[in-house]
Amino acid sequence: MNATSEISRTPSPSDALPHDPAPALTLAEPFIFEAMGTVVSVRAVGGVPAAARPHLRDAFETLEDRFSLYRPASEASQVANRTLTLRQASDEYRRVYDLAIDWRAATSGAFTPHRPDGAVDLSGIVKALGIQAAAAVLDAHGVHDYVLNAGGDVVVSGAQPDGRPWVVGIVDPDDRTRLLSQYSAPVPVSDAGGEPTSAPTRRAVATSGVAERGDHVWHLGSDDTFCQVTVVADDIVTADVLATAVLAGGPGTLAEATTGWPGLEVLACAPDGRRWATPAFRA
Amino acid sequence: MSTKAKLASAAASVGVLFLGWQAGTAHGQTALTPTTPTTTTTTSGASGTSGGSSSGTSSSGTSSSGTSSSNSSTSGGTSASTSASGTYTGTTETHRYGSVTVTVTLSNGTITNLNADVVSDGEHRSESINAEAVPMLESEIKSANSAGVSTVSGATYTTTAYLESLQSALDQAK
Repeated sequence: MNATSEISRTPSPSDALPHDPAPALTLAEPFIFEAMGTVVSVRAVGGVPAAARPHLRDAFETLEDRFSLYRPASEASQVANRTLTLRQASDEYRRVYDLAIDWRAATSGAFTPHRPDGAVDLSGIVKALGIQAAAAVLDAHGVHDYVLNAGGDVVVSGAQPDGRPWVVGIVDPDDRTRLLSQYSAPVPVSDAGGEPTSAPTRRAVATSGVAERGDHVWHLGSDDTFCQVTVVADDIVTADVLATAVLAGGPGTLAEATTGWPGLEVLACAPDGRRWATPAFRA
Repeated sequence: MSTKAKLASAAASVGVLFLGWQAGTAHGQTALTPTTPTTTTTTSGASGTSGGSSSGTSSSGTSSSGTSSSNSSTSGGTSASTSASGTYTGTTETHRYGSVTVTVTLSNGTITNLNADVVSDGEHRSESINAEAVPMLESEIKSANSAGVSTVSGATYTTTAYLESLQSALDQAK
């Protein structure tokens, strides 16, 4: 699989969203590329500048070079198979490892960088770091109104061309062709003339589920209450880590997350149809 | 969870939240008293549990869920099936840098809003705090309006699964 090839685009009627064959988007075409085994889609007001595109790819590629367990020569692979000790690892590797360990402590172990066999696997946090780096690339190129989606994890910034908020649909865990709910991101404050008077608002939405990439979530506490957890936070690392932690840790971790991180929005789903929701996801 | 436990849990979360703002003071407690006593929930019970809960949270660092569940079992014997509705305002707690007043809105025993009025260094602000994710039926969840959706969040799809994803459909929309 070529990690940098663009996805062929073959629209078909079945691709349309339910209830609406033609979503009303007046944006430039998205910039789409493969990274970290999934697909990244960037949609920006005014389009993604050509000069930013190689840097967006690099934001993911640089991390993947070092942290991919699918690349036998990567530093992460060498640590995982114990040909390299943590002490010998690069500063960059240890910085990410330390971040993962900090999150393990903050989530009482619900999030962990260790696989059940004891090997270190930082992929749970590396993808979020890639998204964060890509968002920084857009910032550096003066792009403030955009939606960045990497394999279902999302960062939204600013607002749509007409000033409406970005809306993030949440997939129904029981039927992936449908949306269960949605989250409307806050829009920047504007004056009477519509000119923004505040910095672009930014929110991150991450969803973790048990149905895909089965090894991605490890049920450490053997809690299997939730089959899908969506977390909205100010940054994608927090959203992604806590979505994974709540999925693995169940209702106890959910309560700790909403208590410990003010401003968090959560939508958690149980296989039997029960839902847990903070105000943003309530009807 | 009983109403009192919910109040205690809310107060515990507020205790954690304002701990940073109250650096330098000995305690981060917020006592809750109902301003609109529309139910049988007792004032002393609510303030008592919340005080103990938040001090326990701030001093020992134990999780609020653990603390509130123990309160839940304690209060269960006295008022097990209270379904409170109304707005409850805590006493205004002053500290070195200003004051904090917390208001909790309950609907049938469910926290629907938690608001903090904060005065700090002369500045006043009011913040809504999402205390907790509460269990509900799917019909009580905000539904999606596909026409207005900009992007789709779901459990990570692989490159091959992407073409069948809703995100792919959106990406192909002109």
